[in-house]
Amino acid sequence: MSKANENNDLLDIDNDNWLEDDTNLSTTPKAMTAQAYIPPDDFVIEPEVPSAPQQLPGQSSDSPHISNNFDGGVLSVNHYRRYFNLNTTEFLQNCAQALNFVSTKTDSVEEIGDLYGPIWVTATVIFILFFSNTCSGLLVSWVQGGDSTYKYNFDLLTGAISLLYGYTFLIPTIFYFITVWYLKLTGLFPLSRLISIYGYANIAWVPAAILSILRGFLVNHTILSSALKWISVLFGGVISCASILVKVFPVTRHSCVVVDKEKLAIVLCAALLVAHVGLIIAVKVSFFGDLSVV
Amino acid sequence: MSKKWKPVAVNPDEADDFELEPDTIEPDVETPVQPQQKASSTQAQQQSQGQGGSSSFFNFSNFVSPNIDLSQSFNPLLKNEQVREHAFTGGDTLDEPVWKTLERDFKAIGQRLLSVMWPASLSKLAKIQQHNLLIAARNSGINVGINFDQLGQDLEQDIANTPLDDSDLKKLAWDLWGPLLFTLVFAVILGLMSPEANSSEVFSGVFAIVWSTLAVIAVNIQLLGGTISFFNALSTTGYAMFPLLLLAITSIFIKWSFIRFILYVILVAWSVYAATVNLKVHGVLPGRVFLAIYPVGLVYATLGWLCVIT
Repeated sequence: MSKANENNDLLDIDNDNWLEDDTNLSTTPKAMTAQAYIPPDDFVIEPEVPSAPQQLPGQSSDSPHISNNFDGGVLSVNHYRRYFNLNTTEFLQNCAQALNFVSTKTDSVEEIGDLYGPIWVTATVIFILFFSNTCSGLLVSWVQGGDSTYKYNFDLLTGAISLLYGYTFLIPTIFYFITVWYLKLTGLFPLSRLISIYGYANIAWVPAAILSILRGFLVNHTILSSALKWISVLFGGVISCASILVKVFPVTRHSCVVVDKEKLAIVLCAALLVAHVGLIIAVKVSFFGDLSVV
Repeated sequence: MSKKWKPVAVNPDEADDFELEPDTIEPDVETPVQPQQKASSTQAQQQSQGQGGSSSFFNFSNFVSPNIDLSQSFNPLLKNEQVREHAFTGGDTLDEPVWKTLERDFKAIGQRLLSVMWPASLSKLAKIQQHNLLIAARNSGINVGINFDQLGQDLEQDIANTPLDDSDLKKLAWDLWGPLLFTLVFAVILGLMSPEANSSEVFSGVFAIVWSTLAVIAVNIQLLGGTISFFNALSTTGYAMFPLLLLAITSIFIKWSFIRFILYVILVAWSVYAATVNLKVHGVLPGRVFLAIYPVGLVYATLGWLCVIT
């Protein structure tokens, strides 16, 4: 029995003249036998679910029922479905919004965001960084000729995983705890939304990593190769940084202005900026050689 | 017990008005109701113990076989669970030869493999399942980002024109034999191809990575909703790994990385397509198929890439 039907049964019983009403004759005896006797006054009527439309004619009745509420404890899978409650178009919109760092359009602050983006966009970046690194390595051994086989570095993969996931989840968490618990600011994003913003911002590294595959062809030109590396690293780093700050700064500033500490917002966002510069340096060192300019 | 004693006449319905009568006012007229009631209650007990009496004051059989629909009271517990009934496929399997049992299992595995090798054979079933899921999503108010009215009509016509046969539904069962076999062979090949020094390391690493990533994918599919179960997702994505196995086998013989790369692109695309059709059949919500399949593609691409670069 679907939830909508259940509610209807309860509502029918609640009807004032339910004893006289002929239409309820089929439902009331069942209700009486199925549960202990409760006087009709004590019935607690749940509000009818507005989102469940009536069954339309012509549709099969044996379609599976899928629950759309996220109740259940912290240990149940259903609890976390609220963070994965998005569809394909919303996901692509989120990705586009992350790359579009000049837009002033903002969603409401209360939205919880989603964790699908942080997890899988970051996974994509890790894969493509690994892919571009090994691919350019293959290209190098191909351009240089000979049958010197390229040996891939498995540590690169684990390094990328800990670096990017660590950054995407740790920095927002630290920021959240400092602002909400230590400084006691209000009106900020929920933690999941912050992580969501950081995760989607990682998408800027994808074109950067793809661009850097070309460096395999430039193995004999030191200057061009190093220029390409710097360009791709700065491209990814700057765009993701802008995408994060454009979304976080206005909200932080607003909640700081409320308590008359406008400078605090600048300090907080400067701290985020410093952390991001740290990420850029770490990516440059671990995936694009060292920090030398030429 | 003395004959003078009589039980107090108490009507349980009027329990509020119950008062102890003083001992001095003892009714001297015997009320005929009490012994009768007593007798009938003992009779009822005897009856229910003996033959499960049907009509009496105290009907014990109500407790033995209660006339209550228990499925209603389990509803709060099962609210988040999908209870799927499984078609009973075999006959009496108790006294059949072992070979017959094995044959049936191998046939089931082969059929699942066939649906990976030729995913188009499932496309009709996928269409129907997606249609059902679309209706389910609409009824429970899940936003899948699809306009419901557009899709309904032509799909229903399609389904009416080409009815489903039973053999298609058998493909909906799952097992983990295929994934186990594929991951073992895959890890052995990669281990043998890597340098002698760390071949055992590569074997164990690849085996663990494949299973853990498949588990992560299955959890992801669970989180996205739908009617697919965890192990069903594990089985589906594991079976769809078969083209990657072919890639690993061919990479033993082909050393030129450029041809390996071309094979890589083709076979990974094949794997992803097979996984898409199979996941659609097994119950991923229509508007979220891409979200479910994207991590699968990512993992297949990584595993295939390992074959290319070793």
